[in-house]
Amino acid sequence: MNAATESTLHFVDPRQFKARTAEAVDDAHLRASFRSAMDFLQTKRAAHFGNVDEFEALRGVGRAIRQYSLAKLPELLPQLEAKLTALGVQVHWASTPEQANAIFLAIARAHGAQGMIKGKSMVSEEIELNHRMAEQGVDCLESDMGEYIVQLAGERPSHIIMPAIHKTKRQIAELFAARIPGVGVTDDVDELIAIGRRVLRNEFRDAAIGVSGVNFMVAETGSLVLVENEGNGRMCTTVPEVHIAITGIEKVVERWDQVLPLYALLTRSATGQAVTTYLNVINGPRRAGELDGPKQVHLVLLDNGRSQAYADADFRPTLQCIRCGACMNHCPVYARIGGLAYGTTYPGPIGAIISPHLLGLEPTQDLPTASSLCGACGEVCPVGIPIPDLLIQLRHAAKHDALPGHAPLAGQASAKDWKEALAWQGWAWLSTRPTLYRAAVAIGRRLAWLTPPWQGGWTQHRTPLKLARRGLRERLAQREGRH
Amino acid sequence: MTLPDTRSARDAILGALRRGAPAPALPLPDLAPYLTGRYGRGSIGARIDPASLIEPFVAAAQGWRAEVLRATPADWPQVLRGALATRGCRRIAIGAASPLQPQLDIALAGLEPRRFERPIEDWKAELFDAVDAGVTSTLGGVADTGSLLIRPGSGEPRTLSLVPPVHVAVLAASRIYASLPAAMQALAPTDAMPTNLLLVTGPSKTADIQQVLAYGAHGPKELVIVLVDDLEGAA
Repeated sequence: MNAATESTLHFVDPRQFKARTAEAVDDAHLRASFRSAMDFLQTKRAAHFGNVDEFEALRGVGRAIRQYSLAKLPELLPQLEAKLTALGVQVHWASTPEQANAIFLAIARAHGAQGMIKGKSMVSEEIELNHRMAEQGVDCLESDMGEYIVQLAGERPSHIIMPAIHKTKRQIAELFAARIPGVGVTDDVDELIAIGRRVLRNEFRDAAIGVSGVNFMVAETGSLVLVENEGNGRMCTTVPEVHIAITGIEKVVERWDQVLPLYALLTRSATGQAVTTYLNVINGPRRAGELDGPKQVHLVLLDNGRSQAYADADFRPTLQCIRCGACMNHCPVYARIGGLAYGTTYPGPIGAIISPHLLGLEPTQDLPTASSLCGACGEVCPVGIPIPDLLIQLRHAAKHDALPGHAPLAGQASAKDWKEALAWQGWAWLSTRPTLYRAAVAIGRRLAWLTPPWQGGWTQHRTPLKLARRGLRERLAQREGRH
Repeated sequence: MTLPDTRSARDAILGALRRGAPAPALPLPDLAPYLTGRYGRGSIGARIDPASLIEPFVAAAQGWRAEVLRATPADWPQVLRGALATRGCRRIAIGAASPLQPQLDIALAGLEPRRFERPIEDWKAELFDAVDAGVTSTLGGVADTGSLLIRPGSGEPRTLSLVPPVHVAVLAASRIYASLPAAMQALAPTDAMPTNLLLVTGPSKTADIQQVLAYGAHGPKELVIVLVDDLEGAA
């Protein structure tokens, strides 16, 4: 395939979140890009959901479908598998990214394929398919325009729906000119898209294997449903002789008629569209007498920590997500730092609540703290995930042992700090002993002049904390005495 | 072909899910608020008169940058021919067993029709690089969104509406339904799902570069809908 696949960018450590956040906030260009993109997406969504009652009614249906599907998940998955198998789809299961990559590699080897053409799939990002295949000499080429741009630049997607949202057309023009032979610099968007179309069209025509994600799976009918505007998803799932779909185990619903309300919510929440250009419903490989469509269809069902979220009734709503991106589009933190700062496949509020299950709490402990708890994410979520509540629970899980009746999460209490814990315990002890408390505060006030001007992270952006000369209690007592 | 045996992962995943917090048995979700609301118009109760849906369909389809050409059951082949001529399309891919026959052959007389009668592997290069337009029938239309419901199959393969740069779709006005669920209920019985079922709304597009909308990303750059008003005789 072409030069696009040379560069590899390995996993960015989410432990560096705070450092990258500082860099992102200082990048005026990046902030302006995200601000305008978020305003654009918010306005487009709002045009559809102006009537709150209508939105709530539709969201109620979406939430009920997702909760119902999750409650039945242990039954729906085998039902889906049986139906797909009957249709001729080969179903594979993977607990870990390594297992999923091994399946992809085995299929590529079995067909002697040197490369794969990819439609948009966040789950394939999750398993770092491109890099793992490149290590084995198999080139994966992204074909979603945004993903293609990001791959060409050797970067990661910064948004789950609009992967190249952090780049300007000028940057993309320079990237194309530098990386695609025979292309000059043009910042005409139609021309840029025409260039991408021309390059990728040859790849669709010649690729032996097409890869895609899945938006919804239907257990009763064995359907794989893909939602898209560009047509690259249809290309990848129709033209190559082999189609490999990969998705998370939570994406299944029971009945076909349950897809339509979710579709209505997904497209309006994601990009403010009533419908996408294509809703592509796939029911197995090419049948006898048919003249196109893949001869083989594979489905890889990935767990990668989802069953941990499932096991705890408190965290299970995390899996209701239909990946619309509305939570990040409305998040004041995401809008200021962008998607790359998170270092995880899924950025923004959904990333902060799903990543601790995918990667463990140890490397992701800072992500749930990247929220002012303003509640916008929960307000716009089309399937009613209580995102702010989940953020608070994950903050707690990072600092404390599991509560009685709850199994510990991977990395539970990894952010626990004995000094901090001791300080809180001491404060609790003191606060429940009024005489001692008053004495301690009185001493503290006398010694307020000793307060150091430098107080760690706090004073980086704020004035130092200092005990006031007179406390609230004292002031109130004085005021009441006056009346 | 030896692929990894993933049954142990299957057992591990399903085992973990079954051991998970006991799920309360939830009732089947009530879709009524969706079906009776603005998004499900006409999916419950009597069929909305398709004559009243033509104008909204045309407006919605045009809103997504589809071109809609009105035609009668008698003149639609000429209208279709005109659409191809305007665009300079000569090599036209059609299904080997299109429901639009025999009129489609008349419409394409003198052009270079390419019948999809061999597997795609046998003529991929021509389909990708030499064909100017693909013509397909449609199962129905959705007035609220200007969408086309398409059920490809052996008679009209999937790539006809995908690979050529222009897609011309013929839609009968009697097949227009108010909303997506109404059309799906009437036209796409799920007990016999075809290999592929499509909802197509406008030409291919993307806003991946600085949120600027551009058409013709990977699929057809143009979608032309020949809307055949077949309601006169039916009424």
